[in-house]
Amino acid sequence: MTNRLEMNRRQFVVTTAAVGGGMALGVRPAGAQTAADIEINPWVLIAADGTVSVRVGKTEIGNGAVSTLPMMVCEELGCDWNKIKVLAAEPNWDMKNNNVFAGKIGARNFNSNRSYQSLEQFQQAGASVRERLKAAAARNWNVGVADLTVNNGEVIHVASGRKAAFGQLAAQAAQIKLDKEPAVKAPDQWTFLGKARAPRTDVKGKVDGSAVFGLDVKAPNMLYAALRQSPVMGGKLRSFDFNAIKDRPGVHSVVVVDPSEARPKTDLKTLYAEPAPQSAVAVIADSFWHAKSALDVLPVQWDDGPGANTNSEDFFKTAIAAVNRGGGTVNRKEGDPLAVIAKGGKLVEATYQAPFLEHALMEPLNGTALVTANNVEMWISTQASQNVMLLAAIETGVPLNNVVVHAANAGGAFGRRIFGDDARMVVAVAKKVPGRPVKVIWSREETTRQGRFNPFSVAKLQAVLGADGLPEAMVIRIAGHTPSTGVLIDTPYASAIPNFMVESIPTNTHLLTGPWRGPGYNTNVFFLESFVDELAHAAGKDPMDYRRSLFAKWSDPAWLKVLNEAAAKGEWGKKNLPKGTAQGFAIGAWPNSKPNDASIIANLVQVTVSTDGSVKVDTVDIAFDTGKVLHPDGITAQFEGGTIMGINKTLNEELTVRNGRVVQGNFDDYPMVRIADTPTIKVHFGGLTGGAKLTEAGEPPIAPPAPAIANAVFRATGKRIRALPFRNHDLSWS
Amino acid sequence: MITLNVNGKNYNVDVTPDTPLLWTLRDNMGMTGTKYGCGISECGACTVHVNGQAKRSCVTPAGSVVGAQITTIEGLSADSSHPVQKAWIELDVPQCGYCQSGMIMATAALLARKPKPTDADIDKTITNICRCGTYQRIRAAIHLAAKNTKS
Ligand code: FES
Ligand code: FES
Repeated sequence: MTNRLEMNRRQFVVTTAAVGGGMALGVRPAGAQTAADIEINPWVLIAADGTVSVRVGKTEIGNGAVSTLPMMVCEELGCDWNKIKVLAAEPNWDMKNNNVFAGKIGARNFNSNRSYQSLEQFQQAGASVRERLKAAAARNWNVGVADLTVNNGEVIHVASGRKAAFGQLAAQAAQIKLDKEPAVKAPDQWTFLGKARAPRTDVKGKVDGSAVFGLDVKAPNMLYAALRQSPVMGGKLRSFDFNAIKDRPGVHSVVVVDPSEARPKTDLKTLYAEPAPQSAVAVIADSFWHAKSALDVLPVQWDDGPGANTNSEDFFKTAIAAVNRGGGTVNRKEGDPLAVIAKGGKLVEATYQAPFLEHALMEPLNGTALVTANNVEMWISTQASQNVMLLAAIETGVPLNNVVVHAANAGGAFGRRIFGDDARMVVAVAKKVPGRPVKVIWSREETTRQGRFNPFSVAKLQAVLGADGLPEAMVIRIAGHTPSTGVLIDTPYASAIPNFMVESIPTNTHLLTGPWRGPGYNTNVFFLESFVDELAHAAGKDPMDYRRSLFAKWSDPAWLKVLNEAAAKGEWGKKNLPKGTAQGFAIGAWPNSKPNDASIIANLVQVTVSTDGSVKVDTVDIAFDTGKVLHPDGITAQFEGGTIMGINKTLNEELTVRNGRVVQGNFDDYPMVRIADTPTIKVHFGGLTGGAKLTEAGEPPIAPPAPAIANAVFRATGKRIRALPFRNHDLSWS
Repeated sequence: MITLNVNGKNYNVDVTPDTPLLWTLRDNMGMTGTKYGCGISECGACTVHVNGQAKRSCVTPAGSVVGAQITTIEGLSADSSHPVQKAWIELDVPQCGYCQSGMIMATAALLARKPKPTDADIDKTITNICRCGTYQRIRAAIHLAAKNTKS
């Protein structure tokens, strides 16, 4: 990690020098920048009234990026947090400013820099501005820079107490060239990061209705499109009857997205696998209501294609047969587990299942684009605005220079808004109505059925227990749609068990899939941590002690520290719980289990199963290790929310396929937990190792709830649930 | 053409009476603080007040609220000074924020009716969906707003 940071720093210094401290290139970003904001460097602008603007490339999807990145600047700059303003570094602006944020076109770090990658860059930006402000004050007061300090938006001469507000110094500071960039503070010198509670910069617009989400964008002369893609993914539009709707109120036209239509040749490459356009029809009208109600009655015929006649039961049958047969790709092998199993002994085996899942973002898919012969301008809720810019150029042939993409607030993302299949469809529709801005909206049902789903999977786990009850051998076979072996191949258990093997067998379907909060991890932890509990039970051991014995054989002590913190704070082994109530535990690491490279997180849950079989999670105690924490309240919020999403995934979520079509469409058949289902969630910080790592917070909380709840339900009822979601199972008792 | 009273003002709007209030507010009147989440009265993102009662605007025909006092998030207060908004800010409730207009409107209607709601009242009344999972903070913010509301 040290290497990565140093590289970032070198890049930073070079690119900053290339831009030369000013706005030489004359391209102004969109957003809230005003003439009063004086640019000190590409990251930081200061106005005479003391407003400090921080430019960020990351888009706000709910995880607090537009708050955390400015905090990194403020750690160095000593600014007044109440005077922070956030500006969007838009991809077209960045491209015309020597890719100062992205490094280059096609680099993923423009929008998706992980915290540790952004940290030094944004700290450096703040430190650099601080030194320029100090240099300006030193010149004005004729004192040495070393005698100056900064605090709360002012430069202060320590000896005399003389002060100057940043706003007074900004114009001068913008002209100052430093001989060398200052060093940034080490984590043990932080006074703001990791300590302060900094209110989110985006909260105001989110409580008064003024925050603009993609769906809220308004453009003069705008039309609305209601979209329908082939209900069987991969199918093709055969025909439709415009005459049936042409006289309905407000209807403008019907346009078709035809994947086989010739598109301009280009060398441009997207940041991720390029999403292909999907066969679709869209009704264009003067309001969404007019467009949608016309689409609902538009006669449309489809060729269903290869996915026709498929269904979920068959997907699972095929995958179960595959894990029973074996013989797939061996992803990891230690010792000879098959020989140990063949020899006989105390064999434990179990097969687990997880269905396809939809992201169910609160804001349905949408985007607004104005396409002309030579320009594209668009607004969209996205996690990857540079990728959208590339896709718009690829879909239209408009030169990249003339493609302007504005990222709106995203009403949830969780991986759904990365690949840009939505952006491509928006442009593909809008280019058929050139010269008019078109807002393309997927209804909730269409959003659900045209997802990029979390793939279904089936895992068969087998273990032979030795005399001490610990596994001598373990075999994991996983099948399903593009089955991920993430987390399974490098679990600490692999090092603690002498004979270990992971094998994967793809049994793909016609459905399109994509990253869903913690891909692979989000479900593989359910398989693994349920099974480890089953092993502890078979060995007659306490599941917490059982894991302790295994983690004792693993080189990264963080696992034991996190486990012990959760066990202590959640009061593992609590006595006298009422019948139907029990505790359960699970632990995992995202995005892998490499020492010093992953976020480790544990849940100790208490669950009550009522006599009618309903499952209520009463409490969740969370312990974790991300090395360091940038914003304690921010990480707490991420863990609270991710736990709720994890609980919902466990209890409720399932997409099924009938005749190739996704059955579920809305929250009536894809249910969500509500406030009444919400447990008391406590986030405990005692598992932190404080080591060199600074790892992610958004994905980690998603996985532990499922196995922790499964383990608790087993202890409460004696029933072992191996197939998600829980609501499919009868857990009633008397 | 119908006339709607929204946030204390009358507007003549060119929609048929069966048009949902949600889309009338958003597309015809440009008030986009009220959100579309499901369109079938499941999620509450579209919650507004009609004569002080929380209503899901996606299933409320515009024609059915002619003559009623409609309040949207834009009209809850002029400057985010409503106790519910202040509590939301103080506890940093929103994540993506998309559900929060509806949550705040549902809560404001609850507090108007029941200034000191119990947890059971909250469970029964606040049935909106938040995919980001901010429920724990919402509950805390409801209690905080109740505490800070002068009765
Ligand atoms: S949009 Fe009205 S309840 Fe969901
Ligand atoms: S804050 Fe994102 S849906 Fe509630």
